[in-house]
Amino acid sequence: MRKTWDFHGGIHPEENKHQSTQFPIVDAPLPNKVILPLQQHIGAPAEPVVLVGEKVKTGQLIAKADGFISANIHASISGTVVAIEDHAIPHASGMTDECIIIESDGQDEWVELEPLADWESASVDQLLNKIASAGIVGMGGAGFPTAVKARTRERHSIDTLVINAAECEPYITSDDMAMRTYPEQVITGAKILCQLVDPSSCLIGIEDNKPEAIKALQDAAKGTHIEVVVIPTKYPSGGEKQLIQILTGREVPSGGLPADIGVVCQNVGTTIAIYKAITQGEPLISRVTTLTGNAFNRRQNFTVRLGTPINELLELGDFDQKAASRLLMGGPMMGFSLQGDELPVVKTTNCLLAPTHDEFPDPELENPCIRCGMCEQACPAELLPQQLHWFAKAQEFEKAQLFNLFDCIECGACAFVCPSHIPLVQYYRYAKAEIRREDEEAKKAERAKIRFEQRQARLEREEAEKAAKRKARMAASAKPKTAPAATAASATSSAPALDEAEQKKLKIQRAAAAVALKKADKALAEGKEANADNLAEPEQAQQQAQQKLNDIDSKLGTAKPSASSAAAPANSQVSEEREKALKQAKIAAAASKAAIKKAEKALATAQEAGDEAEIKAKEADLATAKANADKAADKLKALQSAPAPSATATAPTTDNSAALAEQQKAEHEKALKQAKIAAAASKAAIKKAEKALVTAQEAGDEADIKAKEEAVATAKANAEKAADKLKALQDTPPSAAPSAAAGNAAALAQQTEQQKAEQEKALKQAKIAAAASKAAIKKAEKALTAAQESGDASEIQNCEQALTTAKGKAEAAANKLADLQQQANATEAKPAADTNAKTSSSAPSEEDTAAKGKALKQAKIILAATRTALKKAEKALAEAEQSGDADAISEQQQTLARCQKKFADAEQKMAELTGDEQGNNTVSKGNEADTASV
Amino acid sequence: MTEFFTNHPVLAAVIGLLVLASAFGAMLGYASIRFKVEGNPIVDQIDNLLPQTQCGQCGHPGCRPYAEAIANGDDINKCPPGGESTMEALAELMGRDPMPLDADLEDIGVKKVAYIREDECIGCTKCIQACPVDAIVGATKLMHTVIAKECTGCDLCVEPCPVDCIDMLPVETTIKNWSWPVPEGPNARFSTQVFATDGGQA
Repeated sequence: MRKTWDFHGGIHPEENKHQSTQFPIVDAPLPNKVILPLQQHIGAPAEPVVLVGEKVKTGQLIAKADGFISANIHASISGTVVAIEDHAIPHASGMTDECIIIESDGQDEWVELEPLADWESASVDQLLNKIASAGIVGMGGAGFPTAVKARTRERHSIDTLVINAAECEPYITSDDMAMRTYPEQVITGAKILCQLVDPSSCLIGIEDNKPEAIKALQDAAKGTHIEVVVIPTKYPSGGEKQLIQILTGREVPSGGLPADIGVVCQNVGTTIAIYKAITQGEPLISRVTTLTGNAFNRRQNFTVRLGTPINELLELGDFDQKAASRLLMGGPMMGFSLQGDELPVVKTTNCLLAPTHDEFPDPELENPCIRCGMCEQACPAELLPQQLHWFAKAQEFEKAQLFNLFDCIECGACAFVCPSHIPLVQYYRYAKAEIRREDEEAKKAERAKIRFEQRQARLEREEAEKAAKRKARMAASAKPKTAPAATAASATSSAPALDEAEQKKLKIQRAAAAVALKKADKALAEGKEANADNLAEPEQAQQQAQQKLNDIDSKLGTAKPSASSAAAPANSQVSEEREKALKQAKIAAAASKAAIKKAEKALATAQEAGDEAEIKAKEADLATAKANADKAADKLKALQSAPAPSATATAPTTDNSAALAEQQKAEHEKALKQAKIAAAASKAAIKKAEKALVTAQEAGDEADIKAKEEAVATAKANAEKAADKLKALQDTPPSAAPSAAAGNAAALAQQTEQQKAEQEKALKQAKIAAAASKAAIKKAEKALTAAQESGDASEIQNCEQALTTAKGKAEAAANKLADLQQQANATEAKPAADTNAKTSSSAPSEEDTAAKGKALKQAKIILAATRTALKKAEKALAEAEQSGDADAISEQQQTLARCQKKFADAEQKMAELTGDEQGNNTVSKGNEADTASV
Repeated sequence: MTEFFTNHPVLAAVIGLLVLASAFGAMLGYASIRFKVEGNPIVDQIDNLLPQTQCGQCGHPGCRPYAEAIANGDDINKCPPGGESTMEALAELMGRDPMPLDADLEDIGVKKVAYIREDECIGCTKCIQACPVDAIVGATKLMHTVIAKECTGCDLCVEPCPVDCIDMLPVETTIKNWSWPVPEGPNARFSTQVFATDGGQA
């Protein structure tokens, strides 16, 4: 006889096992349908691998383990998958979970099973794979995937394998009856486990209240190293940790696993399942379940297919609904009440208990704790149940954890002995759930914190990048002004050439000429400073140098076009060349401007010096410089206004009109940009001229004033021209050419798309203009208030005028914007109509709805915008009322009325749109609600 | 030397004390540099107690700023998402008296997540800019949606929405997050009670 130990506490409830051991195990009839929850185990739910409507055979895999801790699920009958949906499952919460529902075809047709014939020579991996694929989980109650548990050997050294056959909970006899009926299966299953775990000893722990089972097992185990150890009956000796302590005297450490002390524990039902999986290839599709309790007239053990609805079993057990006080799954100590009977049997259902009111009266009223300490005497985990109860009640979860709440196995021994009928286990379950929830929340909070910090860092980084970009842009825009000559030189040198040798030569010459010019300039300046009489010589030298430089420049200029025309059949190359030429022309213009400036400066110094001849000479210089500048400007203009003639020339040869259109668009865009730059430059020129005029007026020199006024006028005229050009460019989208390819539908589509893009651009511009005009109004208003404060009447008038003009402009901008938007809508509608006409019958409605959806969205946006405006207006009105200014109030009231009208219009439009769109009731309802709230 | 000290006991004591004082001073000085604590550690401790919803209901732009404010003497009852338990934890940490939460009672304790009614979303990206934890995905003129797993339920996205298509929905109880209810205490029957607590009457 092997030495056994004892564990602390424990209770001796009435066993009530004899009721269900009078008859042998019987196969329950095949169910009409089975409900198989995807999660019948601890870990992740399985992943369905069948579809609704699919025919399945018994034993076929229907859901695959998802992740490391998970288990396969197999069809337990043959038939058709009728649903994969949420269904009530046996769970303390009475809630639903995802299940696969199979309707039986009554055939019970099995898949071909693949047993491991000679498992004794099979490898550990083969055995583990077989167990895992059979979907075996711990059948004792927890449902931990067995293959994972059997793998503990990989990380722990195991010396003892314990087969848990104690079955300590009252009423339940499924393991007892299974051991009596299939002792060889238990022993063979244990042998397979021994091969997996390779322990030095294998112990089957069984309580002494099952003499038949003990005898059967001892007979079957004869000649093996498996030892059947009989232990005294005491609840909860079937608890894993308790049984290990009884058999080995070792205590599983707090928060640890049995594997930490070299023990692996498996339930006896699990060993039978392993036997079936290995030697017969049969997956886990059935189990032995006890039907007991006096409300059953037939109390017996049945082999039940998993997923069998409990109501079919109730019928089988001749269940008396009236006599039953309730229906439990599991035993009386650790089971839970079932709500409803449309629930399936799952892998861990060892017992269905239907006691009468005599057996299980309603629970007693909970009384206050009297601190008797009986619970502490009963606790098998050596905890202080009373203290834990107080902590749970006071929500002092941290203290409860300090008192090892998580070592509680929820056996119910403490509640069983409690004279105050306190539902202690419920308190512990509640406290455990709260602690887990708090942990979860803490984890989530940590993640949220990290995300928040990362977002903050990202925003800062983006801001810094933006600032850096702005700085770079400012620096870039400042550069060309300060060093036009430098860029000119670099640009010329950077221009790639076809006739490289020639160009190189010219460039070298040009550089030399530039140096000579500089020298001459310097000499001239020195001469002037010295007030030398004979300035003709250096002047001449300077002029010569200038001439030479100009010559070289022109040569350089002609060299390139000729080269390009000779060797540029390709379109892109031509445009590239043109771009280069344009660049050069621009540079030339800039250089000539600089020359004018220089000349002007020289003239000014000459005037100061008062030397008339000198002045004249300088004036002549200035004139030539201006003429040069004009020429450069003309050239630039010519280049800009002739949008790629070569491109149009080559167009017919290239059939691809789309490419042409794209090119033209690019050209157009470029031209637009240039025009804009020109406009900006002319504006700057006006400013300069005006400034000069002011200084001239201050100086009081009439002739000068006149000249300056003229300059201002010309500058203004230039600006106007530039503006006109800009306008013309903006107004005429480059869509003339592709008309040649009108027959080509693809080209047409492209064209419309292009037009749309243009329109969008225009829309954007108009929006910007509107915004700018709004800003102008604001500014004007501000100026007006400032003027009013200062009390200057004429100023006020001026400001008012400015304000009205700004308002007029804003209105015009708004009108234009509206027009453009309308146009955009029209063009958007047009292509849809075109395609409709083309595709005739195929799918007009779909496109229609798409267009409508877009319109609806726009309407929504407008509605939102008007709503904001309305809100603003209301706010402004309130402010005005507070300030008590009657004029302001009436004005604000007017604006408010206007806003309201606009809002109403927008809503009407929206309502129309939504009204058109049938079936989209929610949106229209939302609108009604909006209207009501207004 | 020894003779000198034995002859002048007072001087010896003074010198001894001075030597000791300078030695310990040097040690302390070294330790204060070597083991210097960056920032205020109490702020970190407070920040760890806060729920990190970054909702701003306390009047500070995020949890850390509120933690700094508490360290500087702000009230500890301004965090409705944290609820009673956070306030109590803060009271314990700061050694202050617990105080009632500064919020509507119905707001406390109900976990919520934002939900965008997707067919009404116009794609304005305003909610995306408002979300402190980047839990909303979407782009301009494209429908947005909330990553429910990352949403802290701060409801900062509700206000900016121009079409009011964001709802704050309470987190649904499913079988995954269900937990046992708390017993009602003395003089009540626990409804899901089983035999184990019936006092062995069976």
